[in-house]
Amino acid sequence: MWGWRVSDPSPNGNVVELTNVQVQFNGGRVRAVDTVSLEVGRSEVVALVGESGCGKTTLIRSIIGLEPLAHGSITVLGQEVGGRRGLRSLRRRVQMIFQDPTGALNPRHSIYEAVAEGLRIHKVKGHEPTLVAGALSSAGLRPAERYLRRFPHELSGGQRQRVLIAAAMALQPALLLADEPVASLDASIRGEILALMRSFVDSHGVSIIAVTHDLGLAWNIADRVAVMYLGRIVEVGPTEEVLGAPKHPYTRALLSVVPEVAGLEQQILTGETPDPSRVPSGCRFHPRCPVVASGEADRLGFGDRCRGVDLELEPEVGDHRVACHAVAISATAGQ
Amino acid sequence: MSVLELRDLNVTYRTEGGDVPAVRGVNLTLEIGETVGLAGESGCGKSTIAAAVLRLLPKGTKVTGEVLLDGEDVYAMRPGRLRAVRWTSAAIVFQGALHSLNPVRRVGQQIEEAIRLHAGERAETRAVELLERVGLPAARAQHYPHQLSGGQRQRVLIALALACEPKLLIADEPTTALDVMVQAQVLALLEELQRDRGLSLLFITHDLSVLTHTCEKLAVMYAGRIVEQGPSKAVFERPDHPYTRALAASFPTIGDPASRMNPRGLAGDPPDPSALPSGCPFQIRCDVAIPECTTLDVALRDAVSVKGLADRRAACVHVGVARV
Ligand SMILES: Nc1ncnc2c1ncn2[C@@H]1O[C@H](COP(=O)(O)OP(=O)(O)O)[C@@H](O)[C@H]1O
Ligand SMILES: Nc1ncnc2c1ncn2[C@@H]1O[C@H](COP(=O)(O)OP(=O)(O)O)[C@@H](O)[C@H]1O
Ligand SMILES: [Mg+2]
Ligand SMILES: [Mg+2]
Repeated sequence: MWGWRVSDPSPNGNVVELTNVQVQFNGGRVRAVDTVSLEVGRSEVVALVGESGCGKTTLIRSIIGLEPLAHGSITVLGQEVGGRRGLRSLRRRVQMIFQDPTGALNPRHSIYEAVAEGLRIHKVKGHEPTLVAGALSSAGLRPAERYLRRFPHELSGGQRQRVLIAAAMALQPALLLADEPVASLDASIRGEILALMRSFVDSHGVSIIAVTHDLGLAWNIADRVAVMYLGRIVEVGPTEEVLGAPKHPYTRALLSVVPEVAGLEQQILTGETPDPSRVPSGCRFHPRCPVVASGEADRLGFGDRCRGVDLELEPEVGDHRVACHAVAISATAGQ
Repeated sequence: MSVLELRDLNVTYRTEGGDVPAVRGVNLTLEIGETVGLAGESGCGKSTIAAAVLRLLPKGTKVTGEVLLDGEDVYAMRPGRLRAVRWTSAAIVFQGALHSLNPVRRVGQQIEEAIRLHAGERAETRAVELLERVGLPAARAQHYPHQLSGGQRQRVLIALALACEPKLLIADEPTTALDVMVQAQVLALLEELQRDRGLSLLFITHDLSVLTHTCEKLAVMYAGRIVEQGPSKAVFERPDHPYTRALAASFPTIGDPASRMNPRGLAGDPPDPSALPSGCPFQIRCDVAIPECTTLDVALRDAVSVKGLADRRAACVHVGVARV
């Protein structure tokens, strides 16, 4: 039973494909997700990073059909999200885990119930107690019998997150959407939870989109990193490249303030992520961009483009793509 | 004279389920202008120490040992003296206090009230000055808490704590709920206040990596005790206690191939303080435990391995034994 592997991704092998996705609130005034394209392959872990309010949660909610799209399309396992057909089966194949395991568990339901509920909703075939026990022990809660009759308040934060992971994995999903899965946990136990998540990728071929503002998490488990700023992906590529040789000034600034990165001069951006109801013209990052603020962009003659021309991701090298005028211009100059 | 000195501090909560010894024999000293970090997993007693310093523990809690603020024993103070000392000698930015601001009062007013209560004069002007000092424009004084972001509210709380110019600021997890960029802003602010005003800072967090970059000295707690202390960079990079070693290893170094696709953590949970095992409380999770650890609870002792460096201490059977 626990030897299952994800089958049937879409014909081109992708588990999810987002094409020019836009999600808006307040009658279009809030552009929470503003033209995002991203695909995630089988057995792939993609970390979606960026400051609060940049649209990460909205983006993954749209993947399970919880946010209507103003524009663009999303397919999961080859089926269009929002289409009539197959929504029920998609609900099972795409599972989500949240930042706060305490809030996500019903305090009056035993751990057994917490895992069994999903099995019942999705009418999963098999012997329920066996399935529940198997799920718990695969999530590291062993022996499972010791946890079945307990209630959430009798577990530690890390154990609660394991219960939620067990409940999600019991449904044998193809895709796991994890919204800040370890942010509420002590740093000391984050590694164990991340190792558990990664083990499901390696043993079952599950794909994961992990939303986080923690770049260390990306370095720990992600094959690729997508950096979001104000509703848009501004840099995406293999983890080693994006975190090892960041191109976008925003990515560089984010990395420079992580205590665990040695050798980068701290570049503290002022202010917080700006408001998606007032997206700046030109490159949306330009009001906070160190390259613009230092006058370098003007000196090199592309300051006006930064302030006036909006742009999307352009290929840098291979799979590493960046939305930055400075990078685009130096790439052309180098050719 | 030290700004803060804890001498054999013990704090035991009384609950229906029995006694909870949350802090067990802690000694800690903070000199003027110094920044000391207090680290450890949730439940190890960090917030209890913060509350104990200003006698803010629940009624009935048993406290033994001494807490000296500027040499004066906090637990021997009369109520009037205690009120004066709170805020003016030491102030706390509490953990999870982002929601503790009064939602129906403008933030400027709230700071003014704190000033009036203790120092009186020019409250309005000083409130605005304080907001500016923590990097918020004067216009923010007119805002209500819900109109501010998390990072801005944290700055208001710091301004509030500084209202009476305390010598000591205790910051309990001041950046835990914040994004990395905002966290960096708040840390830079604390550093600046410390540098410009000679503020002493007791910085509490479970995030060891943050402390290493902010504090000169570090104390690592486990199950109500300090199990390792010393200069923070040295403690983080070359820990003596196996617990500190595991904590430090759980922070991946971005760019380091060894931590790529290799998340590491510490298995298991800290012990329940009301049911501590005999011997070393860390033994069950320790990868270098020996049979003695089940019976022997080693106290904090010098961990000098190099002659002349007496600033490292750890509470482990493997530490300090090779000394002559
Ligand atoms: N239901 C909603 N109504 C109006 N605005 C919303 C709603 N949900 C999210 N937003 C706004 O959309 C933006 C993106 O939010 P979110 O996706 O939660 O960001 P993140 O997860 O990156 O912190 C924010 O500015 C947020 O205030
Ligand atoms: N008011 C209280 N009554 C009983 N136990 C408490 C109380 N406050 C904290 N504790 C217990 O004391 C221990 C230390 O808690 P705390 O000081 O909050 O730890 P930390 O701040 O390091 O997470 C924990 O086991 C906690 O459950
Ligand atoms: Mg979110
Ligand atoms: Mg605490």
